[in-house]
Amino acid sequence: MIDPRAVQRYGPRVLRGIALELAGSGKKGLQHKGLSLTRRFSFGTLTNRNALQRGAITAMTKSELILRLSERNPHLYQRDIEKIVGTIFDEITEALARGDRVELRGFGAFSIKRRDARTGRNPRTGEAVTVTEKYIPFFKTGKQLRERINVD
Amino acid sequence: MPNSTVTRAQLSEAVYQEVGLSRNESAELVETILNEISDALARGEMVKISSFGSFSVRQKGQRVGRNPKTGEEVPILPRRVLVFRASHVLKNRINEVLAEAENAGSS
Repeated sequence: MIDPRAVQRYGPRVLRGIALELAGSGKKGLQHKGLSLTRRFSFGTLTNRNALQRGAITAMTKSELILRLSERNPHLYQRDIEKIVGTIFDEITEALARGDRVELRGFGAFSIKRRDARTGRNPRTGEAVTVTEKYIPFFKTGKQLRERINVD
Repeated sequence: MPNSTVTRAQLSEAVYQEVGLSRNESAELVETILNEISDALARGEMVKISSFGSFSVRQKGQRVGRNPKTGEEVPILPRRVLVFRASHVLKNRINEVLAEAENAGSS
């Protein structure tokens, strides 16, 4: 959640800078011209400007995920949490590169799909180009997560 | 190409090998991470994992669907769907292996 007034006053880029600074300094928040910015902002990275001005969309990045996890697990070093998060996504990546499937019940499943070689066209020049066969990663949302996303 | 399935168990094992935590705690952390991501998505936030990909929630409008078996028309209610967009790093990594195999075959 982001205070829309803050976005209006500072613009997404400035706000993101403030958020990162707060996250790095360990300060709880700051006051500026009657508007208080708290660490909550450190969990909301600004993405789509219009949606953000409505206060609608924020994004959680890998570094924010790590921050949250270290707040929840004060007995662990942040360094270790970074390693753990990295390991998980690396494992998924390597599994897919081997051609394996990654199935995480309740969350979803990652797999790869083959795209055959085809003749494409450069949309600007209309020139024919050959596109070699390739594999693309694919994610299918798990049942539980799909249901959670649709609960209002 | 080998085709086995990686599950939470293998992810926890990898975490266990990488960091000096117990097996139990490693498994719990894997679960916590998946929960944090799910919670953010359930709140309608995007989740961006650099060099892996991003998850976002997209709103779909109502449309008329059809039961493929009976041909009967059924309304599909407006709903939210989760979309995963793989990063270029992930896409490249997956295709690297294919390129390597091709090079090995031609030489």
